[in-house]
This record gives sequence, C-alpha cells and structure tokens, in this order.
Amino acid sequence: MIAPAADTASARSEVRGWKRTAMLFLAVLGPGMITANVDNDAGGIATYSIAGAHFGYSLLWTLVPITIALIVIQEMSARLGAITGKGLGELIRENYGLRATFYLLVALLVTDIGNTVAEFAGWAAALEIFGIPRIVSVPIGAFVVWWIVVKGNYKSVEKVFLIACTIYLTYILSALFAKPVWKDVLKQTFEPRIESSAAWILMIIGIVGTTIAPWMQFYLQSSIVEKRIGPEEYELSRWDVIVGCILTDVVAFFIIVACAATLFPKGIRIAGAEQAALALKPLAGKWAGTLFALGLANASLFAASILPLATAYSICEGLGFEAGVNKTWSEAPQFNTLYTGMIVIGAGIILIPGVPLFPVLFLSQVLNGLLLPFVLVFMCLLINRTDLMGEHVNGRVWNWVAWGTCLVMIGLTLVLVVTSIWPGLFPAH
Amino acid sequence: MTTPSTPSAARTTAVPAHEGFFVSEFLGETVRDVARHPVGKISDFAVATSTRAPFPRVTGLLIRDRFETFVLPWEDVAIFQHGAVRTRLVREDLLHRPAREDEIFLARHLLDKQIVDINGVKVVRVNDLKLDVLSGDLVLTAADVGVRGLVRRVFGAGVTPRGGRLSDASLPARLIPWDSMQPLHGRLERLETTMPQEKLQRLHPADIADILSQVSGTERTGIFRKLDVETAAETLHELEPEIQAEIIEDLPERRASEILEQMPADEAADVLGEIEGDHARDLVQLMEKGAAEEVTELLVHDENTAGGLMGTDFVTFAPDLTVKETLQRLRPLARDAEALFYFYVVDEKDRVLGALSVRELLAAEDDALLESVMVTPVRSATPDVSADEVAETMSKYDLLALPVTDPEGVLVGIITIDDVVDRLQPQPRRHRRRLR
Repeated sequence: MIAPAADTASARSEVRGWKRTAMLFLAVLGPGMITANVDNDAGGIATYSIAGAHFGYSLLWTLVPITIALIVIQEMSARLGAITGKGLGELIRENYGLRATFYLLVALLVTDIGNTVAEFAGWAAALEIFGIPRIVSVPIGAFVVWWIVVKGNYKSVEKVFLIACTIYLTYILSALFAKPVWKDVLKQTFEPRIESSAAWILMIIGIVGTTIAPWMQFYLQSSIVEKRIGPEEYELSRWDVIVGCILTDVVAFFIIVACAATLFPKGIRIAGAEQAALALKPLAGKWAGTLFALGLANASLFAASILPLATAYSICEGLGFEAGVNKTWSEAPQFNTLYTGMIVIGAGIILIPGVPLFPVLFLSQVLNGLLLPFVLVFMCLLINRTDLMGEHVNGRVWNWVAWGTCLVMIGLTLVLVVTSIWPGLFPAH
Repeated sequence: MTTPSTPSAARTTAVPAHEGFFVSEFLGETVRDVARHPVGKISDFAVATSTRAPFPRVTGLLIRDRFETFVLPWEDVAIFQHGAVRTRLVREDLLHRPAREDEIFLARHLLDKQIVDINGVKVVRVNDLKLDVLSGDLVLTAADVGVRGLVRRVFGAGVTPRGGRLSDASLPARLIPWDSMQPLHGRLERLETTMPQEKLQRLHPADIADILSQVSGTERTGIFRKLDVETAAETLHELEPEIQAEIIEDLPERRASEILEQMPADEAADVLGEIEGDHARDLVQLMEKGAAEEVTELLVHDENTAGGLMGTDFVTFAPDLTVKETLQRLRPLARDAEALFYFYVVDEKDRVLGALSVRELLAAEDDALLESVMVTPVRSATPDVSADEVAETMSKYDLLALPVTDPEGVLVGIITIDDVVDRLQPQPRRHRRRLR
C-alpha cells in the first residue's frame, strides 16, 4: 500500500520536461526584468541619447563590458535575496550594525529623491512634446504612480510593470526608422576604441553610472524575497536577471544607434532626451521622434513608480519600521510618509516655476556615485559569508569578476565625483 | 554559578540607583582596574544559557584590548555605571577567560536581529537591550524596539539629534519585556531554558501562522522546530499549501512525518502534493502505517476534485442496529472524529444505504432500527467530480458533509464543510508573506 505513494505524489506535483521548466520560469519572471528595465529611466535615456549624438557609434562597444558588470552585480543581489530570504538593508544591519545601515539608508533616501525629481522631469518633458503642459501632466503622473501602488497588490503591479517593459521596444523601432549603416554599427560594437579627452571620459562615466545604481540592488533583492523565490527556484530566477540585463542594454544600444545615425553626422548637440526626440522628427521622420518621446514618457513614469516604493521599503526594512502598501497611515506611519513624501517632493519640485533643475540632478548623481561603492562592497562581503550563504558563496572566478567590477565602479565614480567638484581636471582635448 | 574563591562577589558590585542600563550605552566603554589603568573596551555582554533564573543573567563582559578579546567575569566587576566601569583586581591579575560553550552574546546574537513580540503578535527588530540589576546580578529584562532605541544607537547615548537628553525627548519608547519576547536567532534557542514554558506555545496557532508569514525561511524553520507536534500541525493548517510544503521540506524527516500524521489525512495529502516526489515518498514511508495508507489513497486524486478534498474520517453503521446500540457505539467515536455531522448506514460491502444526522438519531425511538429511521436517498459525489461542483452542491443543499462514493456506491470518504469553505469565500483566508 505504501509503494504507490511515490508515483501518486509525483503525478500530482510534477509536470515533467520543458513545459514544467517554462511554467516555472514564467512564475519567477519579474524581479530581474523589471529592475533592469527601470534602469533605463529618464536619466539613462538622456545619457544614451547624448552618447549617440555626440560620439556616434564609437561608444557602442562599452555596452558589452557594462552588460557583463550589470549581470554580475544583479546576479549577486538576486542570490543574496533567494538564499537568505532577507532584504539588503536587513542583511547589512544584522551583520554590520545599525549605524552603518542608518547612514547608508539616509544617503539612499537623498539620492533617490533626486532621482525621482529626474523621473518627473523626464515625464514632463516627454509630454510637452505631445503638447501637454507640465502643470497638467505632472499631477496626473504623480496620481497614477500613487494609485497603481496603493490600489494594487504586488502581483497585479508586477504585471503592469512587465507590460511597461515591452514599451521599451519602441526604441528599436526608432532606431530602424533612423536607417543606420549596420556595417559601421557592428564594426564599432566589437572594436573598442579609447580616447583621452575629458568629454569622452565623462561620457563613459555617465554611461556606467546610469546603468548601475545603488537603489537597484536594494530593490531587486527585496522583490526576490517578496516573490518567495528560494534556493530551489533560484537557478531559473538567475535567467530572469540575465535576460533582463541583456534586454536593458539592447534597448540602450538602439537608443545610441538612433541618435548616432541621425544627429551625429549633422553635428547636432543635445542636452537631454526630449531634445533628441525633437531633433529626430525632421531627420528620421515624425514616427521616430514620437516613438522616442513615448518611450521616454513610459520609462520616466515607470521609474517614478518604482523609486519611491523601493526606497520606502528599503528604509523601513533596515530600520525595522512597519512597511506595506496595504497598511494604513497609523499602522505604518514612517512607510507612508516616506513613500508619499517622495512622490510629492519629486512632482512638486518640477511644478515650481523657474526652479533650477540642474543642481538637484547634479547632486543626486554625485550622491549616487558616492553611495554605490559602499553598497557594492557590502554586497561582496555578504555574499562570501558561509554562515549566510552556505554553499552559495561566490566561486573564485565569480569573485574576481565581482571585486574587479567593484574596483572599476569605485574608480570611475571617484573620477566622476572629483570632476564634478573640480571641472577642468582633465584637458579639454 | 558563583565559584568558591569569590563568595557572593557579584553582590558586592557597586551599581548606582538607576532606571536600567542599555547595552548600547556601554559598548565601547573603557574598563579600568583598581589603579585606574585601562584594561580594554567593552565589546559585548556574555549571558548564561544554563540557568533556570527568570531572566538571562550576565556572566561577564567581553573585553577587547589591543591584542585579544576575553571575558571579564561579572564577579570581578566592582563598579558598573555610566562613565565608570571598574574591575576590583589589578590589570596583571586579570584572568583572561575565553567564552564558555554555554554563553551567548547580547550584541552579536540579539542586537539588530528579529524577535517575536508575543503580546503584540508581531516580528520586530531589536534596537537596543535593557539590563537591570536584580539582587546583585545584571540581567536582561527587555528589548527596546522603539524609535528612542534607534536614535540612541545611531547618535550615541543620551543625545537626540537636536542635542537634548533622550529622557526629555518625546520619542516613542517601546520596550518588550523578556517574558514576552521570543528570540529567533539560532544560538538563542538555548535561552529557552530560562522560561518555564515555551513562549510561542502560548499563542493561538493562527497567530503563530501570522508570525511565520513575516519572517524569512531560516527563522520560519527555527520557530517551527520549537512547537510541539500538535501545535505545529494546527499552525500548518493555517498556512497556504506552498508555504506548508516549504516548511515540511525544511524539517528533519522524522519530525515532518510526525506532524503530517497529526494532521487530518486530506490536509496531509494536500501538503504532500506540493512536495517533490522522492521526498514525499520518504515522508509517507516514515508515517505510522494507518495514517500512511489513508494519505496514500488520497494522493491518487487531483486536489481540485472531490477525491482530493475528501477525508477518510467517517463513521458507518450496519442497517440492522437499533438506535440505542448506535448511540452507545457512537459515544467513544465522537472523541476522535474530526467533525461528526452525519454518519452513514452501509451494507456489508460498504455501499451507502442512507444517512442520519446526530440530531435525528437523538430524536429517534431507542428500539427503532437504523434502516427505518435513516434518510434516503443520500446525495453523494464520485471522486472525479470537480471541487467547485462539490462546493456548489453543499451550499445549495445546506450540507455540512458530503459522502464520496466510487461508481459502485462504496463509501470512500467524506468532504466536510471546512474543506470547501475557502472556495465559497471570495477572499483567501490564509496567510501569505507580507502582502505588498
């Protein structure tokens, strides 16, 4: 009577073969894909547009090492979450104390407020291309952001976000409309070329800085925990992360290509993504510009939904406050204050007439750069602790790549911070 | 724990009148000897796990000097107050004792970790720890989980960000007394010895389930190991099948199978259905034979059919029994039955002839035969009927239980109302981890 149990138990729980794998993959899909895509936010699109317009195809090759670095770092975040079942803030606090965690989280808050301002700025600029003034678009955007999260639960919100991920494909269409010379594109993608001018170095730093941001590590790890992805599901979840990172940089690739094929040969200088969209219209057709602006609007709003949420969760998790979008103001006062406050500040600053946006964005970029090395070092330390990770600590090769990435990131961000404070450190040419 | 060489030395420690100390205020404090020479800095508090005292007792200060870390026994501490921690010996006479097996450390094992607030039924994080002096012993009395503790840790003892004293600050203080906190960290499980009864055990299984849904996997398993088999089974009942399976998979097999035995067969089958085949087989083989057979029968069925829902806990009688005889036989059975709403009258091949509720049995004449008082025909379902259909039938005819029969009419199980109630409710009733 007992022997048949084996077959029946397995008959009930297991669908064998690729179908099962596919189903399981769809079940864990989300965190990696979403985090990586939000990475192409307003600031990211602006950076890639400028890279294409000012440097043509010559910076395309940098996307290859950047993708590898992104994958290595995001994979560690996901692995930390899956194995420990805890957020990054919680882990740092439990292992390195409250004071370190506190200052790290305060820095994260300030940085992310700056980033949120940037997202609403992107949203406002994109809708102005469609003739909608910011006095209308920004309050609507802020309300949508707030409503999605407060009224939705994690599962439905994740679906909305996954759909938003597909809108990024508009950039591929924009690039096709721009009719690039594919032979040159391919050649320059796989042929690294290094320059030594200040503008070139700053551009590289800009691209790296916009691709790997501190908030992502907190957000990805929390969503992995939230989605209840454990050690068993992790093998599949890893692919969610890898595919997400690759798609993100594919989108970045096409943004650069679109601008490089059209704006670069004419020598058009731009200062932001919305200017790229406007400049594309006469050169690559109305549709190229419209799709470009649509992508910017989507990316900005998408990131504006995630950033305040991710920040509020990270802080509450680390400091031990109640957190949850389904909790009332009195149940989770700190969480609600942080979340709502960030949206109000982010949207509010954009609405103040004549407010200088540049110092805000500049400060948040510098803070991003200062914060990132600390986050990365904590991650590298945590992931090598056998008491936390067991057999899932980094292997030797992975560790070399991870620490190498950390060092390069630290070096680049230091240069960024230094040149932000003392411009003209490098010769102009 | 006092050694002969230092008779009641602990009681001579000079501790000023105070409202308790906080661990964070003493970490990093310099300890001096009788000649006021520095001995080292306090890096942690050692606490004994092997006493049966009502509070965990501090056995020594973990001191770090330039060369090593060692325990300064509490008996050798002469003065313990803010800004002045002295040992009664001279530096050269200090015994550099290593940490003992039965000692745990407050800062390392409890500070910043999660604990269960038993009264609030919540998982909270420890911001600071409160120590008090009880008859010469320094003991752990409470955990500070409020904002005041947070500020004290970040900005240093006694100072608020505005520069005022903490005691003046209007920051909310939240202390959880020792007898209503349950540490979750692995090593702290040994602190249980100071509690007469397992604290978690005082909670309702639904509340334990609530707590389990707020912590990570390791801690969940840790909590679960502390529960007795009966509470564990009841707690498991409150959780979602996928979480049930995760917990069972993480437990040692012997204990997992004991818990499964304790659960009603249909629920045990649901849990096993979520577990990977080989492991499920091992667990069933460890179960007691009768329970294993019941579960095995149920596992054949898809969980969304009558067969998957049904339990095997039912009562049958022969048609030629009198009402009086039936009542006599029913009494001992009522003690173990999961839910005794109806019993069934069956022929010698277990085919269902009729049904009778306990109320109807009580109302019948003592010497009447069951076949004359039973209700016919009996509404039933075959094992392959869908779960939704079963729920609909039971709701439509107001049935508390529905018998499941094979095509020949042989009774194989019953579905009780609590097996389908989740399908009749619009919202899921069971706990998920932190619904966001």
